[in-house]
Amino acid sequence: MVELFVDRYVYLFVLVLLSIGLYGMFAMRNLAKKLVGMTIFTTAIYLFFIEGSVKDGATAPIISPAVGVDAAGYVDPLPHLLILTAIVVGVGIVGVGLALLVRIYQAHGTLEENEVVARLSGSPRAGRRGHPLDEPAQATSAGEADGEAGA
Amino acid sequence: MILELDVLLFVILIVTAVLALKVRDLLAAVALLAAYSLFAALIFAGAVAVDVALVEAVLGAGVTGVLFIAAILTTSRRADVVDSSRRRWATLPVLAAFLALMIYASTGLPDKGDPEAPAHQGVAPVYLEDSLEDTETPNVVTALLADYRSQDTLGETLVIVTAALGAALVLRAREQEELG
Repeated sequence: MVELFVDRYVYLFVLVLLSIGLYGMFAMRNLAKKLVGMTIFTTAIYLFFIEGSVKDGATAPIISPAVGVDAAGYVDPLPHLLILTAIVVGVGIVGVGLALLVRIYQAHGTLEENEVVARLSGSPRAGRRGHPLDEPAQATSAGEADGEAGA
Repeated sequence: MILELDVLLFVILIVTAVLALKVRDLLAAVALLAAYSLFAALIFAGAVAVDVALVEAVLGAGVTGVLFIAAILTTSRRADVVDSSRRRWATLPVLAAFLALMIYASTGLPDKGDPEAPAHQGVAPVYLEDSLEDTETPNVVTALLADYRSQDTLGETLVIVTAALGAALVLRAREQEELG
């Protein structure tokens, strides 16, 4: 049993982290919290790949005279490269997601998903948070007036 | 890697992940997320993935945290309702099914640290044995990144340019609207 745990614990922990991330994306109402869940999920995938690159008795993939050029002496470098790329792309994804988040907040004055949905469906309960952009009639007419003045 | 340390770091990861989703203050959630990324970077360093550990510490903990903080400071700091109980009960069966399926699938994966694992048999030994002669770069990850798979890296920069353009356009649309 202990041996089984020593051999397989990485999968167990990574799957728990993946589930936490998925839960964050599915069940959270706050859109920023959904992005936090997504980051947890992607980092768990990085952990899965990097732990898969480990070889017993191997060292970092930097060729040194002490170890020679025997492949068994170094860990697998390919997952390292793939995850380097994935981390950089992951930051890009988070950046676009946060830009959309800022845009949604500017348009609706809230980051709570249910309130955004209520506002989009025109529910009278929407807009109770009192954001300056919450007066659609005035805001749009002022915007149109400015636009006409500018033209 | 020392087994006990690895397990301890994984437990810390799970705790910080759960807390990051539970706290109502979004800035606290971002701080916990940065801590999560840093502990993940420690696991990478323990698995002798030194380049990945550095990049995760800088980008995962640093840049992601800065982006999150900038977005939260221009929007709202509080998360009103952490989650809805109705959706929680709808999500848990899906998660249980996901977990069961993935645990079943993971039984086919090799043991941790097995040198005979199929992933280590293909092209990786060729890279390790030939890269010093081919590229005169001792760091095999660098040789892979900038030489063997440089087109991957070119595609990655394209993705980043696209992401930056997308974010800039989304934010610029707002400014134009404000100006009228």
